[in-house]
Amino acid sequence: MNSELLKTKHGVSLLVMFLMGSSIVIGTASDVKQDAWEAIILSALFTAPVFLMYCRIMDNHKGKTMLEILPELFGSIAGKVMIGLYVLYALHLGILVVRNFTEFIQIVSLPETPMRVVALVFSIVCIYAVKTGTFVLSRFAVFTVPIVLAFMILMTLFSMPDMHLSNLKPYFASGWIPMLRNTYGAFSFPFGETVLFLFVFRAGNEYFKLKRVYFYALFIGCGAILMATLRNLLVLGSGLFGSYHFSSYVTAGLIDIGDIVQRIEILLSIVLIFTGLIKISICLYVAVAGLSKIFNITDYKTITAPVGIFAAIYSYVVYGNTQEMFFWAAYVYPYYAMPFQLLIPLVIWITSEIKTKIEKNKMGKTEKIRTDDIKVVPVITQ
Amino acid sequence: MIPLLMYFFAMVVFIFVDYDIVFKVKQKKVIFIYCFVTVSTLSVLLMNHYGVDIPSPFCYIKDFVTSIIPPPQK
Repeated sequence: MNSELLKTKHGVSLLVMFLMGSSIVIGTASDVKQDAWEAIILSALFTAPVFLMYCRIMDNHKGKTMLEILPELFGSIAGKVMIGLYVLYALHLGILVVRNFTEFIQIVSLPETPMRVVALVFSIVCIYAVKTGTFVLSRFAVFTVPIVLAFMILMTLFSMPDMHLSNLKPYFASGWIPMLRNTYGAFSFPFGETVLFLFVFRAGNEYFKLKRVYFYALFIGCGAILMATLRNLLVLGSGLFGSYHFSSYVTAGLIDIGDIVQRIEILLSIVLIFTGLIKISICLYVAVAGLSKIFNITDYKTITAPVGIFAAIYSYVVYGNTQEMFFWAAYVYPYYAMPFQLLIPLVIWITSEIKTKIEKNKMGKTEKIRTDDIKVVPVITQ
Repeated sequence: MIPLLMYFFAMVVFIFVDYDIVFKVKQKKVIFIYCFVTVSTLSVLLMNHYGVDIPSPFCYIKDFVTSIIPPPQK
């Protein structure tokens, strides 16, 4: 693992690409239609304290990833069980993201190509990326983030002639319960998924400030998702925004400036492939790194290929059809992901605080004993 | 049969690429993981090929979650 070489900009780029990942493809909080942008802002506000909790856990154990922290806090067996849970979560998330992208590619551009072929080709690239290590992946992210953001800003600017501000009204019309449900939905997908980075990043490096990484990424990632959601809402209106599965793609298809700038959906496809590649690779990395820790395998690269191919093949049977995929993303995933994103980190944080306090107290006592010894020594010599 | 052949092709390529780290290191666990993944994936593909309906294990999670928190009625 070469994650100790990471600098703040690498971490921010990785997180931004991860956040944009599939949330740009299938959208988030689209259930509350014209209030989706408000739900995203509220979810970002809810995310801030959760990120503080993640950072606090890592600050308590400087220079370590979650793979080392969990056995240290809960013992070897319980620690490995918890790592196993996160391996399952990362693998499942990777499978879901592979499926999102294969669905997208099959529906919008390659309807005749079998889904398994697209999934396998996508996964082979991810396997290669994971084998090169997180540092190479992060350098790829640093290179692609400006391109992705530039394409997104360009598409928003080109969509401006078709935007209607009245599409945002009425504000907060969905009611509090749907609003809260979708706010939590937007937290769990994609902001809460960044819990996987606790298995990649290490705190305590002077060039890598974890708090900065998380909060800069939250700011940029939330801004990008908000921009895409507002663009889609302003162009399509609340009715069409809620009914299209890939609303960003439809919005990009409507762009037509003087019969010259048109059919620029391809830019969106490029954005999606870059962000998807990073997201699937991170999920795969966490899965194989966790598995190698559980089985005490010296090099995680040895099992990257079978696990990656397993994810590709399994993505085919994980959902019956496209409707099921969207149903899962909207109504099941937020609750399924809650233990991994909130409950287990909360338990880890509380345990970590208690253990750190106990250790500090012990250190304080031993220091006191030592200073007492030093005071006693001159008396004895006299 | 195309997915089966593709899977075999991908597996052979990766074993060839990983030959050094998989077989020279002789870590039994690694070979076990390779075998486990190969058998499970092949069984999924074969069942799929012969029209056996494979329920995703996540169906049970879906049923469990929606029984506790039902989705809103539109």
